[in-house]
Amino acid sequence: MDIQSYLSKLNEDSQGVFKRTILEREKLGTLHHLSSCIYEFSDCLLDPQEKQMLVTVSMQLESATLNLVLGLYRQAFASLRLALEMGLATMYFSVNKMELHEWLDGRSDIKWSKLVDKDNGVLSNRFSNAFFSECTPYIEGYREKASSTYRKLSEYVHGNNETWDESGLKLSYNSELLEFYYASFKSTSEVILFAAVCRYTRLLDDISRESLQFIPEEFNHISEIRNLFGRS
Amino acid sequence: MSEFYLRTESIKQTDILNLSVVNSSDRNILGALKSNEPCLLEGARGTGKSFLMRVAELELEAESSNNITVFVPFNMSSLITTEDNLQFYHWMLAKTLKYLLNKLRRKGVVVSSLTVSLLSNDESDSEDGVELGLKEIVKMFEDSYKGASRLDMSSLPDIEDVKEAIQLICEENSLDKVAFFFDEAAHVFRPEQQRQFFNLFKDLRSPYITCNAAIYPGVTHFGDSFELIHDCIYKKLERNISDPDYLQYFKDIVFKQSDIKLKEDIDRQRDLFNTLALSSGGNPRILLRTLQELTKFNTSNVNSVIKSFYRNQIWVEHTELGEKYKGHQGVIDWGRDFLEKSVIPRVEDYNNSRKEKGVDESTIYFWIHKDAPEAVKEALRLLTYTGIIRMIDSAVRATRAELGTRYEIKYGCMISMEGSPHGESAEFYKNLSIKKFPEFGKNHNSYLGSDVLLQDNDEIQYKESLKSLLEKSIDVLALLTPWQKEKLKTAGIHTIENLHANTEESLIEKIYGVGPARARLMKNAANAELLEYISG
Repeated sequence: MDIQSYLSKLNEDSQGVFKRTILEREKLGTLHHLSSCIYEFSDCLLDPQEKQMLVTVSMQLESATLNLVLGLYRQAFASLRLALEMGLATMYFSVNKMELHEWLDGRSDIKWSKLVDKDNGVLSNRFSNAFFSECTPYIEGYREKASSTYRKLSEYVHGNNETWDESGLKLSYNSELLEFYYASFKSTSEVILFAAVCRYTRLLDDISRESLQFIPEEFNHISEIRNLFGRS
Repeated sequence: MSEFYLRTESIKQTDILNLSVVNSSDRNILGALKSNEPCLLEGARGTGKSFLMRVAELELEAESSNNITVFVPFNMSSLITTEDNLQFYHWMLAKTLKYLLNKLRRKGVVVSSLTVSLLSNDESDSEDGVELGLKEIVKMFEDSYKGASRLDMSSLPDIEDVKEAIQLICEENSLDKVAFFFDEAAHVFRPEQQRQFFNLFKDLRSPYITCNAAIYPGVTHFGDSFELIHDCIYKKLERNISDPDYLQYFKDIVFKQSDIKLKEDIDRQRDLFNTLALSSGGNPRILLRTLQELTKFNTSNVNSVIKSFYRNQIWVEHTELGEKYKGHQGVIDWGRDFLEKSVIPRVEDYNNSRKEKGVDESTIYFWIHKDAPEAVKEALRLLTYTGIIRMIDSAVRATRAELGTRYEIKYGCMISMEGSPHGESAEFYKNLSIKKFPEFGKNHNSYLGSDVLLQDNDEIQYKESLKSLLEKSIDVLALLTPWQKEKLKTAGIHTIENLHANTEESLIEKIYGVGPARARLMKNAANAELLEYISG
């Protein structure tokens, strides 16, 4: 066969995975809902660069899911990991403007270790005490969630040996990987939203806060967030 | 001691079913909540209304993926102070529909505007007309109540448009129904907003839509268009301490959340637990709170917690209500005094005298004549909201065949008066008789002081609104020209009140260029505004 028939066959295999994955309407709906929440949150941000970064994060999440439904699992995990980095970087850069510009100019990279630094990172006590101190009791939990999600996704990105067998090189539907993606996506978006809530909520006016109805829905188990959004 | 969940909102949706304990009357309520008939669930704070609604939601979803359940908590909005009923109605609709849209999105039935950024242009244009309909409607309502649009009210969608949009979504996606669960729906202490809510509750109904709501006893105003019997199923969430399964039920609730040590303690000292359970008078939150206060599970701790909670803490919360809702403070404070200083001592005397006579009868009940002053009834209503008393039945015949209402005082409040509550409880409970109750007639002297209390709620609101109208700037007076407004302000007249306070002569004197005709015009402008308000 020539190159076109070869690639067409691969496309067919991919379409096969697509047809099966797309049956998971509720799971995919939930993932889309979560990236839309991040997108809607960006609407409330005043700084245009921060807004644009968060929009990019939401689009990155969507394209990660696109990879998933086409059966490109490894690529989906890589994209998801990137979204997690960028999401936390948005918060980081919002309080480190010099580093933001260095990054925009291409003079420096985003460093994960800085983002999740225990003392000065975006999910540190220092950060929450500065912006939303009532959330401090929960921040360590989210930091750990961020680190563990990142680590698990990295295993696929860096190609740890075990992951080659799991994801395989053939394009075929894999329900375990689908579940893993689903769980990781939810953790990723929860971490990004929590960091965003910590960083920005106190700056929002009543009307903006009211429009972010999904925040108390997603975080209704945290009474301090519930209170701030008007629920007792 | 174990950490307990004291509020349903603190529990993640995924954990609710694990913590759920359902007896036959709960099952009956769940049936009503899941049915196609609208259901109102009445219960005092902490009785478990939100919890039951969440369980109903989860069961409906598990039964079929074609059921869409939408939980709508009405939070304290900035709009709570609005006097504009239509604006409030629109706010409620916008919120409710947004919750629906979020749910539909989660289920994969609709997609968000994020897709517009990702799809190539031609695809995004053909966004399904149906979803567009609902989103557009939400946006129009939001713009309206935020004051962002200058839209003429008549061009806003009405409830029929909303129902049609929902019906289309259901038909397109083979959905069977949309069930709304409104929580803390009755904006307590704001009767006008409560009436608006029940208008919405009544309007939002179709073969595809059912509404259910959790409300509080005593403080709910339904409005004129709502007929309780015809317009919905009405369920009360009450757990009678005399029910045979009461103690087991509450033990099960606590066990779902207890660590091993607490379970062992409870099993070893079941009587002690029973005293606490009975004291809570059917209120899971109170039971969990009192348990949480215990440093160690033994008799002396239980006795002291019962005394401190039911003699003090529960009353503090009732009084705090008055501080939160200033307009009701007088009635709330009077009610507390009435109960603490008149009713409870009467009931105590009743019990003591029977004890002395060796009669095995005890009571936690009292009776109020049906023609007692309105203020007294209002005070009692507020006490039922807090849950300190519970209305058992009305139209009860007492001495001389007079009719009245029978109430139950929370068991804990009565038993806490004893030196050793737990010691007395077993005998006390055994001898409880609902047929025995001290009575308070039409004009009982304990009612003294209640007559001056009751300013009509509406009157207070009216006065406050009038006050705020007077404080408004003269800019709002449509009958004045810009020149006139400027002149008035230069003369130090900024508000409607200022203008009203000035006579025509003083206006002529103060403002150069204003003669009798203009002075008359200016006064008339203010008067017209005020008259319209008073008569309207």
